[in-house]
Amino acid sequence: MSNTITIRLDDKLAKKLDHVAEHTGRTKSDVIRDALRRQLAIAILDEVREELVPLAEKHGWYTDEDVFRDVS
Amino acid sequence: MRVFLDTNVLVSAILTRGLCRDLLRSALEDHQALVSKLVVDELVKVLRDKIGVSELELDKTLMILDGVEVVNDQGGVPQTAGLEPNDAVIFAAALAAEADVFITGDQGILAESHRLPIDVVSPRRFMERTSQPDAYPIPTDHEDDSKVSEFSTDAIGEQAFEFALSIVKLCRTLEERSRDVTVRRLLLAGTSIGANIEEASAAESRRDFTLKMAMASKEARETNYWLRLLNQSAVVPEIDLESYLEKSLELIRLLTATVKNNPRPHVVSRDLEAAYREMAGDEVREAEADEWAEGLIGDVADDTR
Repeated sequence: MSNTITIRLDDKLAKKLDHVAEHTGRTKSDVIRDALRRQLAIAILDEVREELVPLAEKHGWYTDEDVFRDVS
Repeated sequence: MRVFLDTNVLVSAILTRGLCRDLLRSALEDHQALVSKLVVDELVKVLRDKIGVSELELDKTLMILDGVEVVNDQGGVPQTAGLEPNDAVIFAAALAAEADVFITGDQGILAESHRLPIDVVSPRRFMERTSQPDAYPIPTDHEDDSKVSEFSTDAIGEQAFEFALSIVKLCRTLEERSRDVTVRRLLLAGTSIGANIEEASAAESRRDFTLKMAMASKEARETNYWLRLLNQSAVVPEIDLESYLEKSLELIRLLTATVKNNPRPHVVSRDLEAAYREMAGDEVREAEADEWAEGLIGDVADDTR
């Protein structure tokens, strides 16, 4: 299923979008979808970390090294 | 850059306050982050079994992967020297996905990094490198494109063509004796090196030239990988692959030097010319190269299948 949404962009942002789309040979929709996917992934990472970091600490994992010791 | 994340890096990025969190953010923002299906399976196992994450949280966590390219694992279990079976499967997926760099906190893999065909680094090393502008030299469009014609591919292109020819012949012989899928992969990678160099010779810009030569370099590394795999798995034990391995390493060395030097025209012209002079001055090496090249001359169509 696909959804269509309409968003407003100021001139500066619209010009940047045109430039990137032309430079990379992608459609503007594709550039927007890619940027959105990346930004949402980062937002979700921050959100789940709030829940999961305390669970990991209970398990004794505080730093990268703690994980590297137990997970190959 | 295509950045492959090993399981331990992804797990740590999600669960701890270390450097891996910043690394994942950077990979999502500035690069193309890659993981394989086995990495995802291992992540789920760790979250569910070790940390006791609920199914709801697990589903939410996996949404992070919408910003990541999840690549398929390759069939079979590759026997990459020095790697544990699961690590070898993950590494093979990274290689097939043409990752530029493989990031891991696994000391076992890092210890083998010099023998592996992808740049293998620790999270710290990756962050150090990407914080330096010249760490991974990808030229920009603002660079002077006027000197592209200085970058002749004649010498290396010829070597790659001869190598491709030898690989075609080798693969025909191997295919007569084995149906191993690795042979087909070797054929594809081994013949792509020269094809990319040929494209580079008609590059429209310096950037285009570097990217094409970088592709050739990757194909050379992949070729070396399949050759090592065929050699060590002894698919056709009676055929000696050592000379092919040596030639693939030679191409990797030449292509790596070209890619590394190319973004800096003032360095490239001088260094490459000097390097070619030095190579030509080495009589033993030149004689070997001649012998190798002469031995391969012939019409592929004349070969018996």
